[in-house]
Amino acid sequence: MKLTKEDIQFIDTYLENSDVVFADIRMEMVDHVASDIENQIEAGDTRSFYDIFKDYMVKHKAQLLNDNKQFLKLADKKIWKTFVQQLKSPLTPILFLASCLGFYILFQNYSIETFRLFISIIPLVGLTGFILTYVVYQGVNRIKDSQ
Amino acid sequence: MSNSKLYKGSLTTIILKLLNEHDKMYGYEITQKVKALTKGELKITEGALYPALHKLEAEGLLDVEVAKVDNRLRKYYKLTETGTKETVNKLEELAEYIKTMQALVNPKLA
Repeated sequence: MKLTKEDIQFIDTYLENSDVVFADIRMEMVDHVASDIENQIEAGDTRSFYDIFKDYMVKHKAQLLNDNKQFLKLADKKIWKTFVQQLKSPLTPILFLASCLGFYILFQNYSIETFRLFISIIPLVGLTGFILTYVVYQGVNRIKDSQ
Repeated sequence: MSNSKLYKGSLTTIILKLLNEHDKMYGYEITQKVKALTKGELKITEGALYPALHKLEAEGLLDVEVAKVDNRLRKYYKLTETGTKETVNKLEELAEYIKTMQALVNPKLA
């Protein structure tokens, strides 16, 4: 017997509330837990979904959360590796110097108020880009789900 | 990995070997396959398997594919070209290790 959409959502919410915040790692954990529960039901376990789930979590929660911890460590390592790689790239000092030069020219030609305004807009532009990416990603996911 | 620390060092080789024999596999499938092949002797825990899979993926040895299966998303792993080459190296390394251990533990059989 396959688990229902509601059962899957229940596992997902439980893991999210257990600090498994990254959707990528949670997706894999949800599938693992669901597969194990389905396996038990197919093997003849007559208990309800909630009882099997509760029992599974008592036995495996620590292991699952360890996986989450290891994933976060690995992600941090990956970020630092990319950061160091970028620092070593020959393009980095050129970009840095170009940005400094750009700011210098801006500072020389405009008043401090205009300069401040320009600086204050930068985080807003970044945030708008982030929100747009998030909205498009959610939209694509919704379309995939409805298919 | 629940049974023994001796198996720990071979986990990546086990994963690579299984993926070399199958086109693609998902995490739970790997744990069940290992359990079945070893007749329950070796049980890979979630806490050991997924970090190992993510590490292999980060190293470029595995590629992932996500598919919607039974009301949820499933992440499949498969070997990259580098992963296939690395599997050969890892298996040779393991065979060499077994031979060396055999010579140390049971010289008559070596």
